[in-house]
Amino acid sequence: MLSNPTLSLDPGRFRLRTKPQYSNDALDEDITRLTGAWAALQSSRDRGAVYAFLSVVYELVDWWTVDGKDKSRARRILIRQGIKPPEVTEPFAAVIVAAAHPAILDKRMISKWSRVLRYAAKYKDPSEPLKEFLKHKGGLNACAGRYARRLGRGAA
Amino acid sequence: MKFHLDKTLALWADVEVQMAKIHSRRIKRKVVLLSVLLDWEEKGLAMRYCRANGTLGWKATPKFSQHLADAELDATEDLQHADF
Repeated sequence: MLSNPTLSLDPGRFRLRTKPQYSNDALDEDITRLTGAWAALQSSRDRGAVYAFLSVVYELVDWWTVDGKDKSRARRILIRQGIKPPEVTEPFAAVIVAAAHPAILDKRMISKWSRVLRYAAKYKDPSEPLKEFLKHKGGLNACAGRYARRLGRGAA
Repeated sequence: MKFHLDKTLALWADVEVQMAKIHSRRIKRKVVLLSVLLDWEEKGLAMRYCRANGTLGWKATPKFSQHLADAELDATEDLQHADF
């Protein structure tokens, strides 16, 4: 089973490291996963396919947030994709834009998905799958609306 | 630093740690584990994620599972064509 070179780690072949750095190669692999999820969404006729894509985005930003580097990495992913980052970078929106690149998404679509994911980041239990949470809360539009009421500009 | 690995990664990471230990007994398990995980992350085989308790963990990517399936297929084919 160890004949596969990618799984057989010859001790002399890998670099010994002492800090859990997130390298550009690792970021590129995450971009590959994101663009793959975006392509799957584009080629699917299933209305539920969007949840799979949003889950990949959510999962990535989620661990960046735990690591305390969500904003800086959001800027980094945009730069890596050749997109000029805005002055204020919202991590979920940035990752969605980077995943869809070079396709240009409608601003309202990016905003809606970003609000949905921010709502989930705030209220979802970590053990609950994103899809279940969003469906339980009434779907994407309902969650975007909930975000606006509870966390958006018009929040009480 | 404590690492939380899913079952697939834990199994294979342990193999790598054992191999490294055979190569050099003085090498620390933590260092090997971190190096292996970062190496796999850069190859798209492992990814970090937020665990249910809010801490970071590591899990195998779908690419890792695909590599395992390919390796198993290769091994089966080798066995079928082996000249005993």
